[in-house]
Amino acid sequence: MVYRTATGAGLPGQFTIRAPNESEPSAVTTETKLYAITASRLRDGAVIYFAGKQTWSVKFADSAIAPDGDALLAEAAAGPPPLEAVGAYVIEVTQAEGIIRPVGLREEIRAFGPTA
Amino acid sequence: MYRYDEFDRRFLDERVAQYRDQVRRRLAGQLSEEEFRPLRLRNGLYLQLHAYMYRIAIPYGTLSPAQLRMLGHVARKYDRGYGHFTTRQNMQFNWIKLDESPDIMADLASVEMHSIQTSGNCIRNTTSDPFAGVADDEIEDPRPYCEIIRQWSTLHPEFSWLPRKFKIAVSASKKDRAAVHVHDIGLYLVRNAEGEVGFQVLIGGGLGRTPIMAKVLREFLPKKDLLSYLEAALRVYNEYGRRDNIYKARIKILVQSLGIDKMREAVDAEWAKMDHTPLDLDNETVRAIIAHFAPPAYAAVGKDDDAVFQAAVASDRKFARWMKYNVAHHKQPGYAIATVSLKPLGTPPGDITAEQLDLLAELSETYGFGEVRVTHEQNVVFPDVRRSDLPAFYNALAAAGLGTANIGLASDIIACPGLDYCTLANARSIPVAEKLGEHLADREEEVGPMKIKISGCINACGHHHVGHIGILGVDKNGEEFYQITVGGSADEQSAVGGIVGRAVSSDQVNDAVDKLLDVYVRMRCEGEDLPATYRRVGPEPFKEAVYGAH
Ligand code: SF4
Repeated sequence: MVYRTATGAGLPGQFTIRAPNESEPSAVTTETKLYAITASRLRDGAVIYFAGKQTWSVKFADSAIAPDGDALLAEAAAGPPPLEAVGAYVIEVTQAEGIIRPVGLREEIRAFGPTA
Repeated sequence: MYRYDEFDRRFLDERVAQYRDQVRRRLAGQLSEEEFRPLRLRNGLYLQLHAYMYRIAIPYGTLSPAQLRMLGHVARKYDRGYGHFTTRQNMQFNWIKLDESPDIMADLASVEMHSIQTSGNCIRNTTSDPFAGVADDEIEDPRPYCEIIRQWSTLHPEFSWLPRKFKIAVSASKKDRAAVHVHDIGLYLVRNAEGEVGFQVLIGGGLGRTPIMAKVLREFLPKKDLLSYLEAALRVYNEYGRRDNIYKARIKILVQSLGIDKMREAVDAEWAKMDHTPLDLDNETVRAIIAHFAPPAYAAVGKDDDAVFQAAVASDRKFARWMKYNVAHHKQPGYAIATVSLKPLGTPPGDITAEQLDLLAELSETYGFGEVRVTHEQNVVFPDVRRSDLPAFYNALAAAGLGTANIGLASDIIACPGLDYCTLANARSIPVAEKLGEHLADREEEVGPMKIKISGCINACGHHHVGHIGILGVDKNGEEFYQITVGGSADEQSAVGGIVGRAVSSDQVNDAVDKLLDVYVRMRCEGEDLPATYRRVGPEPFKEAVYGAH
C-alpha cells in the first residue's frame, strides 16, 4: 500500500504530491483525490487518524494519506490493535502548498475541535 | 422533592455493577462495538464527534443542591469543567471517557440520579412545567404525576423496545411552559364540568422530519386511570407502530395514518380489555408520592419586605430590568419565581460551568427550599425566592456572570449542540446562536417577547419548527446554510412555522432575522406576539422582506 504522512516527506518508493509550481509531473497530481482514515478511540472517544504501520494518532497531521481510500481503510482494519479504533471510515483530504487538510467542515471540526 | 426508596436504590446499584462489567468486557475485547453499543446507549452514553457524550436524566427538570453539586463534580472531574442543559430538561456532558463512565454512574447514583433511558426506543425522561407547584394559574401540581410516570416507565418490561423513542410531558397551567403539544403523549391537568380534576390526553405530537401537533385522544381522564390508560396507548403503539422505517416509527406517524378517531378506538378497546386494578392511582403508594411534593413552609410576608425590594428597583437599573424579564408571579404572597438565564451574550445556550453549578446549589439553599428546575428553554428556575431577597439573589448571580436579564427576549435563544459536537448535524448551531444573540441584544426590548430556536439538523432538538423564528441548519454540497421559518409556537397556541424561502448562508442569518423582526414590529397590533401577527397577515410580508418582491 502506498502512502505518506500528511506532514512528513513521502516514504522511499512511495508517491509524492506535486506542488502547484512543480514543473516535473509526479505520480499524483493536484487533481488526484486523496484520502485518510479516521475513527474514534475506544477508551475515550478521541478523534484518531490512521498513521500507517498499524498505528493510530490523535494528530491529523500524522495521517497516512493515499489516493485509494478503500485500500487504506483495509490496511487500517487489518492491523492490530483491533480495539483502539471504533467506526473507522475514509475521509477526503486536500493539499495546498504542502499542507494537508480534511475536506468539509465536519471533518475540520473533528480534526481541530469545536468552533465555539 | 421525591426521595428514592429501597427499590430505586437497589436497582441503580445493580445497574452500575452491570454497566461496569460491560465496559470492562468491551475494553478487554470480549464485547464487539456492535454488541456494546446498545448497552452503552441504554445507559445514556453516545459516541459523538470528539468524545463520548453522557446524557443524564433530570426527572421533570428538578434538581436538589446535592444533585447540582454532583453535576459540578462530574463537570470538573470527568469533563472540561462545564455541562449543557438540553431542551428536554436533561444534562449532557460532551467530553466523557468510556473507561470513566461507570464511575460517573456510581457518583450520580449516590445523589439519586442516573442516565438510564436517556437513549434508546423506550419511554424517556418525563418533562414538565418548570413553574410546577408555584404557578398561580395551576390546577394542581403536576410533579407527582411525572414522578408516578417515571416509576411506572423505568425498566417497564413491555416498553423497553418500542418502535421508537417515546416522550411524555405534563402541565397543569393554562399557559403551556412545557411544549406539551410536541410530545408523543401530552397531559394537561384539567377540571371537568363537575369540578373534578383529571387529564386531557394528547397524542402524536412531535418535531423532527415530520412536525405534527398532538391531537386530543381523550378530553377527560380521571386521575386514578392515568397509568392504565397510558399503558393501553403504549400497547397500541407497540403493536402497530412501524418498525420497518425509522423515519415513520414515531407514534405521530401511526396517529396520522390511522386518524385520531381510529387511534382512540384502538386505545379504548385495549383499555377495556385490561385489568385496571394493579395500575389504579388510588392507593397508599400514590398518596405517599404526592406527599413528597407538599408545599414548603413559606414564611409570612414581612412588613418591610416590599420596601426593600422597591428601593432596589428604584436604585439599580440592571436589577429593575432583571426583575422585569426574569421574575414571575408566585402563588404565595411574598415570594417570586426567578429564572436564571443561561444565555449570557456570546456564550453557548444552556452551557453552565462547574463553579456556576456549585453557586446555584448554594443559592438554592440560601434563597429557597433547596430546589431548582431546569427549563426546556435551557435556563434554570428558582421556584421560591422571597421577594425581599431578590436584590441579594440577583447580586450573587450577577457577580458570577449569571445576571443576564433576557428571559423570553430575542437573545434567549434555544440551540442544540449542532455540528460542533453532534454526529448527526448538518450545520453549526452554537456560533449562529452566539452571533445572533449579540446582534439582537440592542433591539430586543423594542421587539418584546420573542422565541428564536436553532437546530443543527432536521431532528429538531433545538425545536426550530415551533420558534417564533426557527433556524434549521442544512448542508448544501458540504457548506452550511440555514433555512428560516416564521410564526411557529410551542405554547398552548402551538403551531409549526412557515418556511420563509430558500436557505441563507451563515453570514446572512442576522440580516434575515432583522428583516423578519422589522416586519413584525411594523405590523403587529397591540399585545400581539409574532405568531399572532403571522396568522393575521400571512407569510407574504415576511417573505418579501427577506427575499424582495417575487
Ligand atoms: S438537532 Fe440534529 S444537530 Fe442538533 S443535537 Fe439534534 S441531532 Fe444533533
